[in-house]
Amino acid sequence: MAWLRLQSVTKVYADGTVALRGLSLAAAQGEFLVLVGPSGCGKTTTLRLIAGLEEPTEGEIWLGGRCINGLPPRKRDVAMVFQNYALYPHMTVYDNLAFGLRMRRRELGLTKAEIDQRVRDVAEMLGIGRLLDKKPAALSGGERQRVALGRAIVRRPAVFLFDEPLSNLDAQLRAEVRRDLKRLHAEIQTTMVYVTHDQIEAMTLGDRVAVLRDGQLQQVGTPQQLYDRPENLFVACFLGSPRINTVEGELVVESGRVQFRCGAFRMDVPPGLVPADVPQGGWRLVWAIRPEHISLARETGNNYNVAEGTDLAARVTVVEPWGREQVLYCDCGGVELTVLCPAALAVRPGQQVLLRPLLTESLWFDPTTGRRMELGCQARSEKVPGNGMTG
Amino acid sequence: MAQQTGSFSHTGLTPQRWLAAVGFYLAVGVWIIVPGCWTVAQAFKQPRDVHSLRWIPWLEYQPTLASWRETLADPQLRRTLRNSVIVSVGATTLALLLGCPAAYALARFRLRPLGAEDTLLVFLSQRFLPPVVVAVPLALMAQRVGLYDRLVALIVVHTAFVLPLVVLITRSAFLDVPPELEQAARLDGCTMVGAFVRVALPLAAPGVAAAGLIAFGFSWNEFVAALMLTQYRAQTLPLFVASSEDTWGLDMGRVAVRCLIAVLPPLAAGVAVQRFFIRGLTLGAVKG
Repeated sequence: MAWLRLQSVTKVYADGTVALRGLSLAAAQGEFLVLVGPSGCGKTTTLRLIAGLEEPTEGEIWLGGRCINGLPPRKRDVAMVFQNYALYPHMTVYDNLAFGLRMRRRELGLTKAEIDQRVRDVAEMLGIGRLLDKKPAALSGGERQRVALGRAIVRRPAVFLFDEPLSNLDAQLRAEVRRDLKRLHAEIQTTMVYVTHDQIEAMTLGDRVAVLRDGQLQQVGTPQQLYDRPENLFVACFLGSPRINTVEGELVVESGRVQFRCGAFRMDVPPGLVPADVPQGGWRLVWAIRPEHISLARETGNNYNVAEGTDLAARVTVVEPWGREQVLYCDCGGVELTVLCPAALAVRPGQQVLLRPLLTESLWFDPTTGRRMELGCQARSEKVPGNGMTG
Repeated sequence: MAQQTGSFSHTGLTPQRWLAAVGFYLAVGVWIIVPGCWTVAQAFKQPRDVHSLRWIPWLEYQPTLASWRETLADPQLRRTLRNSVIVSVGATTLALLLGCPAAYALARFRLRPLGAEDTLLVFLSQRFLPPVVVAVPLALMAQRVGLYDRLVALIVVHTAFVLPLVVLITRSAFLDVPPELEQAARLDGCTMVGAFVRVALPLAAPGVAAAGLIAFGFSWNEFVAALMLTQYRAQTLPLFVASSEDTWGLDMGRVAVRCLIAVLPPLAAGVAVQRFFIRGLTLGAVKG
């Protein structure tokens, strides 16, 4: 059963900006849900709607079996970690942590000693015990981040909201806090909604990831589902680094062979690996393939040869060493393809190579709607236009 | 190079520019300090010395406390001083109580149909009006409602005068407080008012203190309204200072003493609120 549920939520701001259009989304109890998308996609608005800092124009928000529309933030039992931490600068770390409990002391029926105990427990858990007497100004970025986290945890809310909490940290610290967050979630098992524009955070943290764009949900699923089976071109392009290769071109059948063409770019495609349905506007398609699904066709030594019909002759333009791997940018008949391959392969810019795309892993998209197209089985291949299809 | 320019090097100025700067500050200093020194000197002179340009006590003139004794013994001093304190403190308190919430609203909320900036301009436009223009109507109104020569009338009028400035200054102080802090407080269990009182107000304290000081100074020095709205009972210190003239003419020694007495309370108020002007109070609230 959904613990947190947004039901066709629309948010239009006073200036007419439409931030969300009929967003429906649910998170189970204890789930780590990540909202990801480019800036302005409505992900932070979603968070603020759940927090009660904004009210939806339409739709309902349910939390723990009650509709929380119209409830002020303090009555929603949610805790939020802000991008800039929003620690109270005039209070010590201890008072920052205790503030939320003191404000609700009567509601929660807490004694002073219990508040003290909870604050110290959380400080202990996050390793900020020695900072309790300091003011936020005296803390480092990472320490402030922990205090902000602690202020949320100490309240034991029904749901945690994170608004890009790692974006102000340097790369090393970010990886560290990311790991801590994952550990924390495993420990306290509370629903978390996490907003980020960083696809790596989304992939690594989320039990499920929801991709938003222009206030609309594009797809929601496990990180692996989104990565392997993106519903549309946007999701495919948004997730994954280096970015997925996309080539818009035409599927042509000639003398029994199915070929994908884009200008001078030619690629033979086994008939079983083309979409089942004719996309809108004829056989124009977007072919997409992840950089790790293209390999260098290679025999022994440095001799490359044409081994398969799908192999593509290309020229390496840029080589980016990533340490364990390297990224090759190749020009292939006027089309730029990105290839992720082991760093051990000696490749120089300007070199001619043969690329071998793993076509079973490639994806096809409708260029008009951007939707992913299911592959057809062999029996359907007669749908491909042209004559002489033998399958 | 750095050796040559010597002590100027840390300022990054050439010696000529440095001299020009020093000269400028000296001129400003003389402009400000000399009248003060003159007043102090006058306060300790005998009547026969007040019109002379003598500066150094004991050498050029024989100092005396005669003017002080006379002024301090004057029952009018005690009354006007008390009135001034009541009016200034009252008007400042009232202006802050009304001004801070107004400024906060102007800093945080969308106002329609006028935006916050335009609303502020409407507020401020009151201050462009010369007080003399409203003084007579105000006096007539005060008489009609029975507040003529009463402190309440002065408090209300002074509050109205300083309110726009208080709103302007405290609004910019509230704008400097990150709204996330209040949002965090609201999620932590505060009402909107609670977030204002517990988070926004303490963080805007330096601005509020500055606004309070300016309001106090204005009300303390205000003359025209005090002149028009009072007769005797509610007279304030500026009127007392101005009334130094008697049938024998203007006694400069008496004027100087009254001026010095009038300067002391605002000075004390300035020192008292100084501790609020701690820079960088919001430092570390958000991202380092």
